[in-house]
Amino acid sequence: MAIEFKLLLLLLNLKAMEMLGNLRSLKPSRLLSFTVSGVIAAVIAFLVYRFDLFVFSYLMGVPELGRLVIARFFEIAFLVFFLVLMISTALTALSMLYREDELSLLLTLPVSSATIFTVKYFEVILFSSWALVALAVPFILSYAVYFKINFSAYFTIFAGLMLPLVLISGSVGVVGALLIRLLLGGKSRRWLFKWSAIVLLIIVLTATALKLSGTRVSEKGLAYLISLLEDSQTDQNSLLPHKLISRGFLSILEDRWDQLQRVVLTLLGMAALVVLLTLDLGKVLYYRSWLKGSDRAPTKGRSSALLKISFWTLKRWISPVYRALFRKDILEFRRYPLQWGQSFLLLGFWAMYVVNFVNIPHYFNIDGYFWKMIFYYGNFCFACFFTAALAGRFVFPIISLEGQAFWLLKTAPLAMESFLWSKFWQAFLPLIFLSSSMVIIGNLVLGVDTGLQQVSLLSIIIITISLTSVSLGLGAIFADFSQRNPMKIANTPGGILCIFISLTFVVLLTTVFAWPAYLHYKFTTFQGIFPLNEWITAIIIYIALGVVATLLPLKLGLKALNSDLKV
Amino acid sequence: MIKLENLTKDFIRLRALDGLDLHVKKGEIFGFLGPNGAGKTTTIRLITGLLQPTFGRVIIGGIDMAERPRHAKHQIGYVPDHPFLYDRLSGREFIEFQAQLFLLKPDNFKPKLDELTDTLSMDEWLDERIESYSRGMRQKIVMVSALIHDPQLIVLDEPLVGLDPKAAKNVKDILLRRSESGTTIFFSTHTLSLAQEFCHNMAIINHGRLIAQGTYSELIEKQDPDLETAFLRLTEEPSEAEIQDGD
Repeated sequence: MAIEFKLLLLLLNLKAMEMLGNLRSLKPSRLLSFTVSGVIAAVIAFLVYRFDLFVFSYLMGVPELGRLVIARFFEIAFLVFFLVLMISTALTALSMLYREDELSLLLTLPVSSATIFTVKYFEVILFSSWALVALAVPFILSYAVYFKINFSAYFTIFAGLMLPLVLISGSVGVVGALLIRLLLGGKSRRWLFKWSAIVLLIIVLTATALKLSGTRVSEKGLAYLISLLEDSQTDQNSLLPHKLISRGFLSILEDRWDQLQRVVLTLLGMAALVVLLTLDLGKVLYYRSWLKGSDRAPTKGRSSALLKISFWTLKRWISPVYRALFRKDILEFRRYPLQWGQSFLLLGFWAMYVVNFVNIPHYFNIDGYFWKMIFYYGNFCFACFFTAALAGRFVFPIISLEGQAFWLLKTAPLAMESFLWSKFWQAFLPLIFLSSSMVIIGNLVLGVDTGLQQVSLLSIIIITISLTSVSLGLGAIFADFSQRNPMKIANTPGGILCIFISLTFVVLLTTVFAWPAYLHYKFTTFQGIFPLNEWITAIIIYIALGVVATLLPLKLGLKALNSDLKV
Repeated sequence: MIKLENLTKDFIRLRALDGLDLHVKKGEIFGFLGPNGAGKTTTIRLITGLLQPTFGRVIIGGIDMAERPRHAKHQIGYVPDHPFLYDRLSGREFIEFQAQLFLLKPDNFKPKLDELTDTLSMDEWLDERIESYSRGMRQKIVMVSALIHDPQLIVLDEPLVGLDPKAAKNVKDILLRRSESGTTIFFSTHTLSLAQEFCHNMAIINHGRLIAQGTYSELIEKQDPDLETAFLRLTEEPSEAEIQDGD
């Protein structure tokens, strides 16, 4: 036991040295770009912090409802945090726990697989959570500052509330990854693809077929909404982590230190239990699950008939170089199950949103113009934020995913413009399908008039083009060809900066978008002269911002690609 | 075929190449030798367009790499020292991809592909994914991809590492045949016997500077029994005492 513990410390030390070594070996040029990104990220984090302060101050000014909304908001925010972290950890664990080159060395050393698992467990948790925790910091700080909580409570928030949440959701993700590898490790891609599609279809159909209940909000008014929010607060004994953590935050606000103590102890106890159980489970399953995925025979590289037909059809439309790049990327994607997992999750989120939106007329009286406009604008904003998150997660890594084989493209007679544009179209087409379908379906469900439909469609096209460019350009500037895991690439400082810039851009454009939408609402409700000049000005600003956000990142990205190869 | 003029490459706190001038003729087999860290791979990366020079020019077949990189790259086939490839493609898909980047039509490259894979005994592996390939097999597939578009210049960084003796012999035969038909072969190696046996001309660099150039007989002096001795003599670091004497 003592020897195993020493070996554990040795391996942990090795990992720490590896991370420090990576930091030390940063070239000055790269260090400078990281510093600049750090400064920009800090500025944006500060703006988010100020925005959160404004939201808290606004909500606290709304009598009766404000405090309840904050409480509900906490629960939802931490539920989302929990779920995103769990999924992100599971996906990170699927690649990091089973990294072939590293494991084939470690497993030949006189170290037990349980010790290796323990080291890798902490590595996975660290890599999958730090970026998300960093994103939560401005929110937590604004909360702490607005409600003037004393300094010692900061420690309680991070060590007593956030840390257990990270450990619990991360452990669930790691266990999920172990089970997935154990149960599905030996299965073929075709099998995985077929069953993932079937499961997704069942989830969507079940959600669509669920019998709707409840009353329309507009029929019962504000009193109903307040009682609804109050009802959701009554579950004071729930042990679900997101409910516990939001109760912890509210305890600080209400100066209920005895309750906070109970919450912190419960969360820490739960976290310790879950971590120990995960490590025990890893002891039994880790080696077995690794073997399960490693004993497959080498697979043939066959193109499907569908792919052949598609490329035969595309032959006349696109140049051979684009065709070659598309074909290569599609084949690589098809044979990389980790990326499908992410795509299925993404499609699942999209489907759930659409299903929920289709049900809106059941809960709200959208015949009235007020609710219609609220949902019209809300749907547009959500589509923009969803696209920004997708671009940061999926588009940012695609240049880095060329990997160390990028030398091949650099030595080929291929203009980097062509390469960048091929990546642009590959990223833009799925993104525009998802974002515009959200807007179109939303508009059809709400039955908004044709003018507003066209404005929102044009706007989402512009914003999707810009977001694709921002992520692609920054992905080229911060390309890391040595990293093969898209999740880890998205979690690098460049990836976080990309998310921050994209979200800021979305806030800017949705604010500009709100202007013509409001003018339209005012004109329809109060009549008078249609403010055409203001409309045109808003649209010109919108397009100008879109053009700058499209061209600038692509130009900088192209410059980075044309410079020395960083492999 | 290759003209390097005052080629200099600076990295942060390091001058990897310092005013290198080199001229390699068409159809020549040219060996590029030097100790570890001498600047061989940097030179090769500059020739193939992977790096851009701090000063100086790289001219391939009369075309300046900085001014018309795509035209210059059309003439080159490159085999790197570490063959990183697209692991999830099969060997055949990889070659097809490479051929399409060089704008070759299937009718043109398929017979050549069959011929090359047959010579290198890798037909059975061609439809397996690259991730299952050994080091030698990867080296072979890169070799095929570098030759598929009939380049005027073949640049190889340690070309025979990882190849079995039969494959190494076949590669040497292919390169000799190409050279006879006018293709220039430029390669770096630490295997001096290979350079001695194979090269028409060679150059030795150290600390980013050219220290010797010529044919085998021009490089060795009377007291050198072979290229290895000549190489050690030319690249020997002066001792501190010698430096002080010089001062």
